[in-house]
Amino acid sequence: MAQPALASNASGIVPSDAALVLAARAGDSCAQESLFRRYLPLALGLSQRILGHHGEAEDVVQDAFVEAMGHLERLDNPQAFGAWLRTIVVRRVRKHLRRQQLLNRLGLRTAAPIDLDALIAPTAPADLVQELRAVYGVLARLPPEQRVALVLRRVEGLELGEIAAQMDLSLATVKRRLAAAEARLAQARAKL
Amino acid sequence: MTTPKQHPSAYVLVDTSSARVDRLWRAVHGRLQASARPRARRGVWYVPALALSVALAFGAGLLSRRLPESGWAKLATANDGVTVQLQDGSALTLGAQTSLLVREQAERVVELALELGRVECDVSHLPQRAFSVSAAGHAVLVKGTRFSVELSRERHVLAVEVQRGQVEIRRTGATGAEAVLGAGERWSVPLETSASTPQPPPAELPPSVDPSADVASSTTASAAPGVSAPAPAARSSADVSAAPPHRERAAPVPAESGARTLFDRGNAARRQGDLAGAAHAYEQLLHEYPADARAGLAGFELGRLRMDQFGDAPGAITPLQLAVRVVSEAGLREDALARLVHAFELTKELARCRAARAEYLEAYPKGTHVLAVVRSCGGE
Repeated sequence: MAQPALASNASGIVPSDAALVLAARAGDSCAQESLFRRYLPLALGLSQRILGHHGEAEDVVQDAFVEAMGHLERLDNPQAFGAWLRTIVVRRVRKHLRRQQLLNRLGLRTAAPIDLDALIAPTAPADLVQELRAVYGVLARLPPEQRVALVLRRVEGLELGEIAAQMDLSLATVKRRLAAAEARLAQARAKL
Repeated sequence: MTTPKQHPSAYVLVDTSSARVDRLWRAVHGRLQASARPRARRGVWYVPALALSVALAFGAGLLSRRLPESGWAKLATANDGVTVQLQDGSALTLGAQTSLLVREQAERVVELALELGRVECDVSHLPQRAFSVSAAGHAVLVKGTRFSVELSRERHVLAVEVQRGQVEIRRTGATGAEAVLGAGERWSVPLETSASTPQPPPAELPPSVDPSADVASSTTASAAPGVSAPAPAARSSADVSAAPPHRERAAPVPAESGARTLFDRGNAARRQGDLAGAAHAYEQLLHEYPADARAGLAGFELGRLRMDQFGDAPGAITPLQLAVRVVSEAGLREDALARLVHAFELTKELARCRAARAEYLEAYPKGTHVLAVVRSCGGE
């Protein structure tokens, strides 16, 4: 496969996100590919950690990249592509979860359980495995907004302000969502 | 000593194998291309290779299509234009009152014959495929470009206009080029009389007419089936008057459009591995449109090509200096300045190298390339 333009070069200088974004804006598909390859792990990881399913995560990530690449002109600071992409992924995940919730309610879809053995690395320390199992065990019962907030907090380890920014919610709203999700998590843990 | 515990997210397995990444990129790239493709005014019809027999007759907005078994296609419009997509991805936009023969559509050759009217061709770049449009004793040969051919009965003129890329015009049967047109150029030749030009297709098809019969009659009148059958309009160069062809710049190309064309041409050439062509396009952009917003990026790309691909560090200095000077976006300017330091180091211009290094470190003390820059210019 041909090396994407601007991906790397003989002098070892790797182009910045800004350079790639500007080139991609100008229609350079090689720069688009470079951005995609640079940020796919971030986007796919984030999507998969919230959704818990590989296939659904792929769908969301595809949509997120198509949206991002198609609207690069909206990005005020090209160097901030990664952070911007995260917000798009989070928004797409929320939309995906809301749609699934509706289909579930209409009886048009049955939620598949998350395969925790396939999701959690066998090298994870025991206490983290317990934490992850508790979080993912309760996710399916949470409304989309609470689910996203809980994963961003408990799995991604984001601060409240960062969660508010990525979910485009006020800090107070994020606190309410998290409080509700944490209460459900505590109930689930108490039953164990 | 204990190993610091990683964050929970590090223990959620995510498959980022190259096979998965490649597969996802193909999917995303395909969607991006599809969304970037211009929409047809009245729809797009795909013409697969095995369905070269497609014959379309459009009358007053009423579509009449039949698929008789034969080895070629005739496309004709009445009062509305239409866009047709060929199997190789090329798009043909036919104007109103246009008649076009698809005489050959194969992996290595696409031959069209314009009988009347106007066709705009957005030709996908396939190096091994020859694409030609013949009309009134001339053939327009292209590789990958966007251009239009017009054969006007009222104005007695054959005109070719290039929006992107380059085309070559030859007289039918001749081996040499009569003209080579670049982006923004227009070429025309007057026709002697309108008597030899075919009549336009019927404006409206009677509903009672059997479409197959209609197609058969129209195709019989225009050309015998087969690749070698000449289009009526291309029967003889005698159709064309002795008046010399007229070549001109088309309506002045706006600077923005011209710079974009050059920038796109450079990018496309680079993607196709034509690095010399890419460098030439970037050079031309810098020469003709130094004030354009793309000049900085073109300078950066030209410098990068010269340094990395052509081993021409001295030649990279000027475009990189330009990029550093005109680019306002911090990340790109930082990249250009880091490269400039490296170029001075390669050319052993240590004083200039150190000056550029100092400029970089002052502007970007926590920059992406600090380590590489600090070690450059002899590391002093």
